[in-house]
Formats: sequence, structure tokens, C-alpha cells
Amino acid sequence: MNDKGIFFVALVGLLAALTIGLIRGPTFIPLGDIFNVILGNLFHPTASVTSTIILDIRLPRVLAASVVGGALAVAGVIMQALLRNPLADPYVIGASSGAGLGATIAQVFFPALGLIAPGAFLGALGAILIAYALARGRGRVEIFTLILAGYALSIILGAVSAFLMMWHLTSLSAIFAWELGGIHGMTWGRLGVAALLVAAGIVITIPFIPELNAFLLGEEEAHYVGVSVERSRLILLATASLMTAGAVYLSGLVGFVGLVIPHVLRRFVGSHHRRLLPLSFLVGAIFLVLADTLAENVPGVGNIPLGLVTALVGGPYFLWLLTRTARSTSQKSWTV
Amino acid sequence: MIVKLVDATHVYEEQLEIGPFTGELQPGSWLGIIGPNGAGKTTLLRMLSGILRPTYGTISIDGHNIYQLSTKIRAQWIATVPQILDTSFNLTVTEVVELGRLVHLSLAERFAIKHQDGHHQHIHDALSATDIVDLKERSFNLLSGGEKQRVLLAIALAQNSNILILDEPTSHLDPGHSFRFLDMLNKLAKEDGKTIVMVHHDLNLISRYCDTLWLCHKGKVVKQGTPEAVLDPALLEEVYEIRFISFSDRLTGRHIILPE
Repeated sequence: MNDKGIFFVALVGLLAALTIGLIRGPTFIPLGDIFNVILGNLFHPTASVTSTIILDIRLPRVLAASVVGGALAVAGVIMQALLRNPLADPYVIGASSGAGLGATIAQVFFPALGLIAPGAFLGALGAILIAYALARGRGRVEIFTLILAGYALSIILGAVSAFLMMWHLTSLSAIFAWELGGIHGMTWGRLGVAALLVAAGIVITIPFIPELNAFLLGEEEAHYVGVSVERSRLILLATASLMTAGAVYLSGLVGFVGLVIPHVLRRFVGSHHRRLLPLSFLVGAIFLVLADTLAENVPGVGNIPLGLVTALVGGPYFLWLLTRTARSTSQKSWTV
Repeated sequence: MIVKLVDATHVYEEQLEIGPFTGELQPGSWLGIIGPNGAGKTTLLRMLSGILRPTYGTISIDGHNIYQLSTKIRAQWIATVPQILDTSFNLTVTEVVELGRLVHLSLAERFAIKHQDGHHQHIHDALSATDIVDLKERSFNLLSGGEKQRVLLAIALAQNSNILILDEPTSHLDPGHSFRFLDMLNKLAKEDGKTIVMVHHDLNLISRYCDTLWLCHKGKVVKQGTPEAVLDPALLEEVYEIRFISFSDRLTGRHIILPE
């Protein structure tokens, strides 16, 4: 299949996932009604119960899920290229927790200023830079140090966030829901802010696609082919932070999307970022819309946090990847 | 393009001094750098490729100090072929060679609004000059050492720069592939006027191809000149600390030098 065919299939898949998300819920809404409401409201808005459920509850929610999934997957692709390792992901290296802390600080200390989104961005960028600095020994990034540093950072930043929220008299269940991740009570305004962050991140990333490819061959080779390594890396870490911030702002800490989606896609379409980047966005969006629909109504249980679904899918996948990487690394050190 | 080194010296941690290196490289010339391990050959190459800054002295191309050039311009003038390259990511040979075109992309081309003029022609030329057109859809990871080496040269050719820097390019190649690879480089120097700087350990091989040799020892160039002048058994014995014999091959008339 050529590139256009693949993108077309992914796009159709996303539309199908969005439709499933709109149909499924506590009350079942038939497909025909959904089309009637969405198309009908373009011309003359009505305020029936069905149209309220679709337009004010489910549509922002499924769109938010697709923005979160797409943003996390793209942020994962960028981090993996910069670190030359398929294990990097916003959640694993602590960027998500950093975004969470930044958002919490903005909310607790400057509640009136509407600084939550920029706070999340600065928090994500700060966490990435710290993890990166910690893992950067002797000119190269040690991936296992990075994972450990990211893990420790996540716990520390999460603890500080939880402390600030409790101090701010947030209920424990609200804190718990935030840490497990989920898309609750989505509004169009909130979705708009996050979509803006994510769109900015993507637009800045696109011209750096050749640089991302070059980073796959190492920083030295990237330098030889004309990449300004330091500058490109900083810009790309900032765009990954923008996207992580957008995702965390909408959904709290949802893990492993940025790890699983790019890794699976690489097996089918290779690592060239002209294909991998847009496809990761689309497939990440599909995955999260479906995961959120599942989380919203698990048969027999009801509503569970979205983060639980992604953790149960992505966690084992991460462990499997980790053992594979560990094995190949140790084999290399044997043969050297 | 003329490359000029004036007392280029790199000092590691205020102790180990490599250099000073002084000399001039003309277009179409081929400089070979030889010397024992730790003599400073790789440091010299890294200074020439712009990745290591000289502590003193300058390296310039047509009068421009190469450390004051932007990374982009420098990569348009100098291409460096690394010894070996590994990646855990699956890229095809074409996708790897395309990296050589990175410095020539405009903003519109980066946004894929327009295609670069002659993009495919440049890639094709680089692939055919290195004889890897047949491999273009193959995964770079799955290539043999010799094939990878040719892909790395193809990146440098796609870069279309006038100066080529190579660090032991044939260290992973069998004799047949080594000769074919060096013949390829020779053509680039003699026909396209590229300036080549190469570190190599095979003294007989390098003397067949290079116009000039620099023999490095303990961070200094102890002798520079034609291969015949530099490959002197007494001098080599001093530097490598083993005895050498030299003789002329009766069939080819070539000057051969061997450890005794």
C-alpha cells in the first residue's frame, strides 16, 4: 500500500472510532440520530436531550481523547528519535508528571490568571530537561539511567502535586482520578486550549522531520549532515513538551500511549518520520478514543479511569520491550 | 576549494596536546594520514570535520574559518564519512542516503509544500556512484559491513560537498571491497576534483592512492610528503617501534613496505 492509501485507511479508522465513541455511553444513541444532530445543528441549533448529550458531552469527550492520544504518540516519536531509543515516552521519562505539577502550581498559586496550560508546558519542559541532564553521562544518554531518573522524577513531582492539591483542599478521590488519568467533564473551551498547544507543537515539528531522521543515526552523524544538534534538540524537546502539556491538561496522567503506538507502527511503516509522525497521531487518536470508550463502560463494572486501560495494555508491552532491549544491549557488550 | 591549516592544535584537559598541524590541501588532492594508535589522527580528522574545536590555530576553507561557519554551510562544504554507523531503527537505504540532502532543503521543501528540484536525481547519482542502486529499498540494518560503508559514502556524495573526510573507511571490508571502495574515491578525486582526507592503517594500500602522506606520532606530524618519501623504513621503525623492510615488487615495480 502506498503512503496515501495508508493515511486514508488511518483517517477512516479515526472517523469510525469517533463514531463508536459517540454511539456508546450510558444511553445508546443510534447512528442516524448522531448524524442528524451534528448536521442539523450546523444550520439550526436545537436543544433536545439527545443533542445536548452529543454536542456538549460526548463530542468534546471523543475529540479530547483523540487529541490526547495523538499528542502523546507524537511526543513519544520525538523523544524516541532524540534519545535513539524506542523506550522513551512522555510518561516514562517524567514529562507527564512535570506537566501535571506545572498545571497544579498554576492552579493553586495563580488561580485567576488562567495559566494552567502554560504552567503545564513549563512543567513538562523542565522535567524533560532534568531527566535528560541526569541521564547524559560522557556525551551520550544512558537509557536505563534515563528510565530510572524519569521514574524517580515522576514520583517526586507527583508527590509534590498531590501535596499542593491537598493543601488546596482538593479531595483525595479527585487527586486519585487525576493521577490515574481520565477525560471527565470535558468542555469545548478546555479542548480548544489543549488543541492549540498540540497544534502549535505539530506545526513547529513538521519542518524538523529531516532532523528527526538524522537523529536516528546518532548526534555525530546528524552533525556531519548539517544538523545544528543543540538547537534542533532544544526545539524538538520544547515541541514534545507542548504536546505532552496539551495531553496532560485534558486527561491527567495517561501512560504508555507514546510508547506502544510508535513502536507498533514502526514495524509496519518503518521509521521515516514523514510517514511515522502523522500516522502516529492518527493511530494514537484511534487507540485512545477506543480505550476511553471502553473505560467509560466496562461491561459489568461501569466507569473505570482511562489510565487503567492504557496501563494494562501498555505496561506489559513496555516490560516486554525493556527485556528485549536489555538482552540486546548485554549481547552487544559481550561481542565488543 | 582550498583547505588551509595554520597551527591547528587541540589540547585535551589542559594536558594532552595534539598538533600543531599546518598545511594546505588543493582541490583534487588526496591526503593520507598514517601513524600508530593514539598519534592524534582521529583528533585531526575531527577538527577538520568541524566537530572538535582547535584550542589554538585555525582551519579555513577559501579563507573562511570553519568554526565560524554555520553547521549548514559547513556541511555543504565538508562531508564526513564515519567509520561505522549503527541504528536500532529501520530505515531503508534510500531514506538513509536522503540525509545527505538535508542541508539543501528550503523551508517550503521541509513543509513538503514543494519538492526539491533534482532531489531524486541527486539520490540516484549517489546510489549509482557507490554501486548500491540495487539495495535502495533494503533495510539499512540488514546490510553487510561493506554495503553499509558504501551507504555512508553515498550520504556524503548526496551532500555534494567538495571535501570528503574518511576515518579508516575500509576497516570492515575484505581486500576486494577495499580496492573497489578506494577506486571509487580515486575517481571522485581525479574526475570530480574532490579533496579527500583519509586515515588509514594499510601503508601499502594508502601509498597506491594518496598524493601526500602525513605521518603522525605523539600528536605531531613527523614527516609529510609523497608516499615514497614518507614510507622510509628507518623513520617507520622509529614511529611504530617495529622493524620494516621495503622492496620493489618485480612484477609491478611497486614500492612495498612490510613489518620484518
